Amino acid sequence: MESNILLDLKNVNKVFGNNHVLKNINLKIERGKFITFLGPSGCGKTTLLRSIAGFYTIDDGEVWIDGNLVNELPPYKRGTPMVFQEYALFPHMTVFDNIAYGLDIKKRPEAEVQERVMAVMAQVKLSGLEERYPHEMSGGQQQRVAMARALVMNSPIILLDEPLSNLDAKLREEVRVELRTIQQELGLTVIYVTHDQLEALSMSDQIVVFNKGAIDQYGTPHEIYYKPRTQYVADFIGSTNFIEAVVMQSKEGTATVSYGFGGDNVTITTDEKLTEGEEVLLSVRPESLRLNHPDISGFNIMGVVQSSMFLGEKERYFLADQWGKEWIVDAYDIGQKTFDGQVRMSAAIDKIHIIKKVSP
Amino acid sequence: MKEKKGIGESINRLFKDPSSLVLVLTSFALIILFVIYPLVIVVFTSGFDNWATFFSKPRYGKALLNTVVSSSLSAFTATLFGFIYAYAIHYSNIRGKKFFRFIAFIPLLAPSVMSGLAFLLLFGRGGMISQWLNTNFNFELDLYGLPGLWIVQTISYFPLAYMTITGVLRAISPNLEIAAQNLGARGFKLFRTITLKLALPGVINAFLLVAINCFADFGNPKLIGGNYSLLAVEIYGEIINNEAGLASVMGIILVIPALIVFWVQNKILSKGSYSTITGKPVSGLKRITTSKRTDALLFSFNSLISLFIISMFAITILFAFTKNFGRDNTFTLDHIMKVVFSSSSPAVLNSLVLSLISALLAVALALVLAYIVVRKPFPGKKLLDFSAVLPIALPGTFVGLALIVAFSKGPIVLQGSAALIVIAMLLKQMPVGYRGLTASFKQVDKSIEEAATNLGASSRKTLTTIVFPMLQKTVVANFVYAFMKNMNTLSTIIFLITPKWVVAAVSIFNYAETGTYYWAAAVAVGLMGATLGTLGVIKLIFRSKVKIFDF
Repeated sequence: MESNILLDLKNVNKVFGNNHVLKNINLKIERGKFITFLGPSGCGKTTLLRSIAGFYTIDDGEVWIDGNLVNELPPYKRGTPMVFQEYALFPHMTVFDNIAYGLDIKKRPEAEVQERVMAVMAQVKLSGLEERYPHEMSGGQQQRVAMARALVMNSPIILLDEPLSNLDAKLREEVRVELRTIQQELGLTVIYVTHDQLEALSMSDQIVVFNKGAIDQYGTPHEIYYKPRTQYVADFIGSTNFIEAVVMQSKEGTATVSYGFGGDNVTITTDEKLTEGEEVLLSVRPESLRLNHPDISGFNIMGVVQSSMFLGEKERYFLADQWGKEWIVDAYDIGQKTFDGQVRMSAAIDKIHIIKKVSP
Repeated sequence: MKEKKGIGESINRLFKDPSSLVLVLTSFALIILFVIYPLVIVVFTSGFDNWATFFSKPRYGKALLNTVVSSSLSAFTATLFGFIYAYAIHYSNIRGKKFFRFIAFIPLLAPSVMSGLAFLLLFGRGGMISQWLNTNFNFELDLYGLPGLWIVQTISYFPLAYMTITGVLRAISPNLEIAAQNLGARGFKLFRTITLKLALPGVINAFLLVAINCFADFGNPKLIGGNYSLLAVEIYGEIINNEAGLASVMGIILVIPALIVFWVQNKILSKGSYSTITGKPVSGLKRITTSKRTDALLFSFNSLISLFIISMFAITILFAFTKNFGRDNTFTLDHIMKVVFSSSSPAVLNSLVLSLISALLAVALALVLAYIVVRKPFPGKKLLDFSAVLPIALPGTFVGLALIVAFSKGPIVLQGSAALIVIAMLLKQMPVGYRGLTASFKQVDKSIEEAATNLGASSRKTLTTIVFPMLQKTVVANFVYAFMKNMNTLSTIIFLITPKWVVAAVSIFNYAETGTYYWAAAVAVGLMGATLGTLGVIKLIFRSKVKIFDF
């Protein structure tokens, strides 16, 4: 029976000089999923991608692709076609030859190469440009050639290293949608590296959030956004407000915590296993908070408006609570209404999220 | 956690990549066999008693002193002339710049010994001008020895100095001088404080290059030196007398100044270039640097130099195509037919064949070496890199000496074979190509090669399908350069030729030495014709991809 796990990383470690860049990476990636490696620069996501492709030899651990241990395989035997950030198109070859390159290396018959290349070119909307050279094309077109070159290989897994970072915003959005569509149509397993959270959230089946060489969380976009497991993840994706709390009582699936120094309590649902007296963080997103809302009062904090910023769809308020801590509240669709002076910030209790202070 | 690196790891990685392994092993084998082995043999052959002999005879010490003195003088004047000539072309408003550039190029088509020949034809004992002075003014012109050698080497190596300096002057951004002018600097002050300072590393580089070439020069000193003994000539004498040991000693002595020069050159160059960066001139402002008077002086100077060079070629052509120029001026093709196109004197053909083969091999080897050194990790890389570049620092005479000494006895005997000549040429030209290609390689984005590997190409495939095609321009340029230098080399191969394998440069030398000037001139013309012809063919094949004849 064919396993559903296409890529299995076991205890992968990579060191550069004194820099421990990948720390005990354990990851199982299912066939046919769009997986994003997300994190700021220097977090190790590109290093891991390149290690999977074979450009780096790992210093400890195992890399299994489709049931095969590939540690000792050189890059040209791994079968992990990659789309490079700078595209890396062969300048002396036409678009057709660029895309056909991998197939030519495999010595596929000419008719087959012709068919496959033309098909993939149609898929990425490059038909008609077969005889052009890379320097005769726009950035967006070059990017599609780079993608076509990887896609045509029909490999179960495809690696993409920040492929959209050199495109302008509008083009990026278009390509994002197309890429996801192609992936789903062909059932490809894609590993996508980016530092752009919007890309990660909008395209992925699962996101791997990297923090200084280790994986902080591996989950669906919803899980990552609504149930961050570490302070780092909560803070990295979108914005959030943190407040310290102490666990008063913990039962199956819920916990009662005391927050603020004023001793207010709130009972929240949570997946975390907590103990009485444990110190935790509460995370509340700016869009979940309301200002002076009559109906919402599960969780309350008094604050004083410091300043605000009009961002079109929302007004972003900066407040200080009675202990001097800063709060961000995004008020959507409130028209001309403004808030000033002292206000009551509140949120429904299902919008409060508990984060353990020690990373899981 | 420690990083997996070190010798063990690189060897491990190499074994997983068989095509790279083959390239690395082959490179090491070739370099060890043809660079390191001969050098070691030379040192061993020198032997203690030979060193004693060398230092005991004042004649040898004199030869060394003479070599240093004459080379320094020639290098100085060649560089000076090269600088003025280049300055005139880049900075002044004189007319005929294209013509002057062309004139500076044509001596590259001829071996340096042709200057010696032309000199003899004009100023030698039976030379045209000497005869004229004798007949009309009763004046005996004797320029043999240091004066003649100085003049000939200056003219011979002036183009080399010019090429080096022109590169530097071209790279100086006009913005710098415009900025200086904007702040009030003019004329000589501007020249002294800005232009000269920026060009200085290139000027010094030119001086050192010419000096190394003069050390190694064999043909001109032998023809014109007279009683002024020089080291390269002494070495030749000892080889002829079968005194390999003594020759080796002198070879080593010859190398020391060259190595010092090479080391100094590296130090200067590594200090970084003063020019480059900033590109386009500030729009609207033109660089004004020379006055009308300076222009006139510069024009006269360049014209004078051009006159020298043109007369050098003119006299050679005249001697080649007349029965006996000066005494019988009838036009004839006899000389050409006899020494260029007859089957009993295939010197020009030999030169052509051997130069082409050697240039091809030199470029191929340079390419492989550059690839593995820049892209592949393996132990001993520093040694390989050093050995590959080392022959640049060695005078051609020494390279030829090392090869004949190493391969005239066991275990490998190559003496008298064409292979040895090809190898000698290769040793001199491959390092130049290697240096140029390593620089080009570093410019090729690593990610392009990674993309090829990622799609399934082994190292060998990546080389042939991606790297070589991308470097085509540089490769062809290096091939052309190597070919031209091979055609003209004399000092390097003088020890290696046999009656079966005579090359044109040596032929010219032999005929000049024995006084049959019209044959010497005919071979020279044949050689130049062959070079030009081949360049023309290459230009036709590669069209825009190669820059020859671009003035």
